[in-house]
Amino acid sequence: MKKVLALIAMAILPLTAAAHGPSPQKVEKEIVIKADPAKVWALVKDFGNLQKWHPAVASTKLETKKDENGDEQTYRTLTLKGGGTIYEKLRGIDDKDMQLKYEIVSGVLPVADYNAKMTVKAGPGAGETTVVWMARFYRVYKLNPPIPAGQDDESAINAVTGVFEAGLPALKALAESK
Amino acid sequence: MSLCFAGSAYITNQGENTVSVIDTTTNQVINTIKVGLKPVGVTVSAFSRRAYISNVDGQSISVIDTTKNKLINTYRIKGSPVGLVISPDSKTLYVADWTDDRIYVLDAITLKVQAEIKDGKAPAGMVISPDGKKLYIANRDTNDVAIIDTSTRQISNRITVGKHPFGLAMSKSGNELYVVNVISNTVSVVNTTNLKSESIRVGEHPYCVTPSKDGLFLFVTNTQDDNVSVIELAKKQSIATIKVGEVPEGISTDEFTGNIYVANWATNQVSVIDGQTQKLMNQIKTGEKSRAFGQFILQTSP
Repeated sequence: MKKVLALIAMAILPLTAAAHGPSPQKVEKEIVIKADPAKVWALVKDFGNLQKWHPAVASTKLETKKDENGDEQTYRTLTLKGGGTIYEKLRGIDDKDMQLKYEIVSGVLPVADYNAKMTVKAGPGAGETTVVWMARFYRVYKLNPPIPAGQDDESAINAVTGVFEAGLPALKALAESK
Repeated sequence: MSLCFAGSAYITNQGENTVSVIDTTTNQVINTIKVGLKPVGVTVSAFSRRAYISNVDGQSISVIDTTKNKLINTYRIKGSPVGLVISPDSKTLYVADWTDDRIYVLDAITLKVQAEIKDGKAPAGMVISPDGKKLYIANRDTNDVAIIDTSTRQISNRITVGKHPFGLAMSKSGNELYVVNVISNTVSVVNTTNLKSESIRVGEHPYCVTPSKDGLFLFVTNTQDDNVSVIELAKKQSIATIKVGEVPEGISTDEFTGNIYVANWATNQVSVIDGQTQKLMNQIKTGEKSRAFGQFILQTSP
């Protein structure tokens, strides 16, 4: 928890969505929760309430507005306990496959072109649920070495890993509570 | 030996710096070859029996002897090599440098640089006409495809397409060019004679395209939908989607079986689509973060 706040606080770079480095990066984490899949999915799909379970998030503000194509889209602003915000766009909620998709529009994480999904599946055991959180993104710096400190692949991977590793056990704790 | 044909798919694995070689007759991985850092692009030559691999972080090109499936050598190159294409006579290798906005023209045997072409911003996918006279380059950040006259190495034309063109493919005749527009979620079908184009809607964040063996359909990877769109060219629309692995990127057609091979970046595997039924028929485990950007299937007749 302290670690994730420190990581996010360190990451004060603006997101540059227009361009990215050559190799996409991936962070994928999963957790098994002793709760009904429907209960877990209800928490995961609640796009406007991440502060309910993520320990780094102080508040979530949900809004709907038209994107550049004139389509109504849902966005959220996450205000972090460690300072700073992350502005995200909802890409889809699939109740059949229990999958939430979103992307980062701008914010304090040192990543570019970040998109992620959370998938909820029944199992492996009876009464258990597995949550898989996967993100694909690029580092901030798009050119060849030398890469400025904090804009490299490792910084990007560490920040996203910190967010996932702090979030999943907290989601589990909330879902397993009465 | 009876008349038989073999196909091999060369799949770049970004996360473990290797190439998986799949025998497309048995759909088994028959070799794994160590290459440079963060391999992405691939192009193959049946004539010289070579596969070329671009290593974007390694800033190098690896050359594989496809008769032994062994690395011949890895050659340093300045910049960020991503897109690759070999000329039909197998003598010239074109390398797109993503960050420094240039195309290298290399001797395909010695890998010596013969020329550099500056044509647009963030050059990505490339194809070459069947007669070798025209090189087409997708410029992601200038939203166009440049046509290069390969004899003069000058730009002869420029086609405006959708936002962020990335993967390219061409019909066997060379009469049609297919351009995948990542941000527009479309494929542009370009008539290469009059340069008129039409765009067809596909799924989210598409990357690459391949025509079916009979040339009647296009298969397009939708990286953020985890599926492949099937376009019927006569109808000029997508008629189906086929669920594959997660974050599908590179796609190629086996010209003997007609089956379609898809590299899935997030699930470290290749999906095989039956070219006849257009249904998923197989998933083959490859290496970490499979990409296979380019035409990656080598067809040989033993």
